[in-house]
Amino acid sequence: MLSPIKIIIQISVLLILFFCMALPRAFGNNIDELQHADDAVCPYKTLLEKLDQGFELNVKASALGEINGIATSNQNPQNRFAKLSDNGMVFTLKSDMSLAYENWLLTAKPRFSFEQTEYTIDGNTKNASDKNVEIIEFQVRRQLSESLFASYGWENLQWGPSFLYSPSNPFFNDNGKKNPVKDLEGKGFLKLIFVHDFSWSASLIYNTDKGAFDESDFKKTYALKIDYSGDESYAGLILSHKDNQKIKLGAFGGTTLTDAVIIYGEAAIQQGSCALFPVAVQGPLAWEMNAVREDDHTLYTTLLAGIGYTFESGDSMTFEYLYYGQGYDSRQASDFYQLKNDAADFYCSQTALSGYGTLLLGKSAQNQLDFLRQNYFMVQYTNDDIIDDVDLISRVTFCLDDGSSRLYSSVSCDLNDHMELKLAGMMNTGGADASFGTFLDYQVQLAVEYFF
Amino acid sequence: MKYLNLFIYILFLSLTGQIVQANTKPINPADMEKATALLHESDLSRGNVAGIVWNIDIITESRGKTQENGLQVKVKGTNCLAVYQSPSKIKGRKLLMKDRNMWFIKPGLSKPVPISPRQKLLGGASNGDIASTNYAGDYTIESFTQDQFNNEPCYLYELKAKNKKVTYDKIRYWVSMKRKIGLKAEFFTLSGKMFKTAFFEYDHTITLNGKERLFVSKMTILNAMVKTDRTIMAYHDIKIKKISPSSFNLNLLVR
Repeated sequence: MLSPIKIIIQISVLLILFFCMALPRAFGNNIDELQHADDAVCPYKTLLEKLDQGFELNVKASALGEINGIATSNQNPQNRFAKLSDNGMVFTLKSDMSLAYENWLLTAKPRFSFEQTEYTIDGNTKNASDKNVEIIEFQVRRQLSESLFASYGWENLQWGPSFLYSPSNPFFNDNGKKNPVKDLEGKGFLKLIFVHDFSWSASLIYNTDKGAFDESDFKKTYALKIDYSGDESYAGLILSHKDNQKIKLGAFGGTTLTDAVIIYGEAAIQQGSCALFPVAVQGPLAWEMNAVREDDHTLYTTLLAGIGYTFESGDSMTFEYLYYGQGYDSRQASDFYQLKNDAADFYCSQTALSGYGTLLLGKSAQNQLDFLRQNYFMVQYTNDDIIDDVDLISRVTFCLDDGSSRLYSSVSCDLNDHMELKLAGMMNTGGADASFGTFLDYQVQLAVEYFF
Repeated sequence: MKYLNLFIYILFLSLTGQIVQANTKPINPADMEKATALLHESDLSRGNVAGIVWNIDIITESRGKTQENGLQVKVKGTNCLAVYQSPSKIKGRKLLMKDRNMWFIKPGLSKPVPISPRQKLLGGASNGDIASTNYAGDYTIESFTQDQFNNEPCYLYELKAKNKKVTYDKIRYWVSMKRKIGLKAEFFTLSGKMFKTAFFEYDHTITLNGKERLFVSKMTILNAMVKTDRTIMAYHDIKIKKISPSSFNLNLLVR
């Protein structure tokens, strides 16, 4: 059954997009005026010259080497479940292209990659290689008037000020801050953006398909986003609805307090939770992972508060606190670790219960929670001067509930005007039965990027 | 001898105090109006017009090394978008400034990052230096006196930030009486320490409201702490044009 709000949003988006696309002249007066003004200045401009002026191509080649310290974990016994690589090398040719022609904008990000990896599963080491050609993002956008834009494309839509997590974003839980080289794939979005003035804008967003994004449980999502951007402050309000789920309200905002200090916050509130919780059951199976709060009337909140301070030298420190309301409390976490322990025993038992163990481990790995527990704190140091040769980011994320942490550091070094060397290291503390160390103890990445 | 030194010291302090007092006496309203109008006019020659697109070549000499960067900058009022054009490793990076509200966008990372005005993204130049100048709006005139720079009669402004949100707390600014353009500026931190000096050249002309006006072509910034550090900003391909609000909309900039 479609909910009334979903029907209204869906019909509105489709009707508006249809009329805008079909009747562009009704909206296009201002563009024409501007375009004719430009033509008057440069009457000799031919179609080819315009295309040439509007075309942009940036090509980059990257070689990434990676070493993974795989955790000894019930979630991934002997690496038989997740099948993570011990080490690997990925060579990727990345081209970002765009063409702006009159009121059209076309962009595409094709990627060609060759990957060589080594796995150790159940004590046996083997090699694998893979070639892949894909378009990770593209967009076709039409400016319908000076203030109205319609687009369809595969995009990785991100917004908000936070580093750790963007709770107001209903489409993506990874904001791209975890990996210095890896590109984020896009999902299919139909968008209509109305820019009212320099301060206000509104977007209707319809997530139509999973695009290039690897998501097993894709659900269509609709969102209305209203943005304010003033001279000192900014804010956004997002109302979204995912298929078969309740409406979610998200918001973000921030302000520049002084020349050196910025503060910001993000929040999300939703009724019920689709997260899977450990439930004890009678009999030999002992546990189940169920969405026990799906029909709950409780409002679950996620709050993130952050502050950034920039020193005279240009270096900056950022502090963020996250409260993740859906996360497990101590008892649920304890049950969850016990469930994983029992599931691992089933999984390794070579009996009829193995299949059930696989099912349980699958559910516990994809428990629909972006964070396992409820309270997190992040400290980040950044030296990110574009002109300087060396950039450094160091980040520590603590789980205040179980005392575990993730340490991350990356250094980028300019070898010359075309080449950059990146080294990143990540280490999880607290063990496998904690917030961060479920799959990896540590990870080291070394990348060289060449910009053509 | 000891008492003589003490006497000279006290005398010096008293005289300095007198001078400071003389300089900080209230400016009469007519003079203030004239001073503000001239400051506003000098701002117009450094980009504070309705809409402007320009390219800036930035040469940074620091710690014995020289780096060159190219930017395309769009400015409308307090809104400014700088797109890095060169070198190729930083091409496509964007800096969006809505007065004190600033964002940095890196190609490949879909998520824009909020930054403070103090964050150095341009070597010796501050983020504010690439945007249009609005000294008349952002600063209070504490005093203005007659002076000379390179034998050109000038008004010397002592400008104080209206709030803590601007990049410089205090500026000493030399504005040509005849040409109505800023020639030199000294920038001070909150602690009163001078940390850089800038010199301006005006080899361009633009037509504004039907009148020809000199327009900034070069800004040379010298670091007051590290004397060998220097940043040169050369402005070219200047176009005065209408810029729509969508040019500064974060939703449309990330691609």
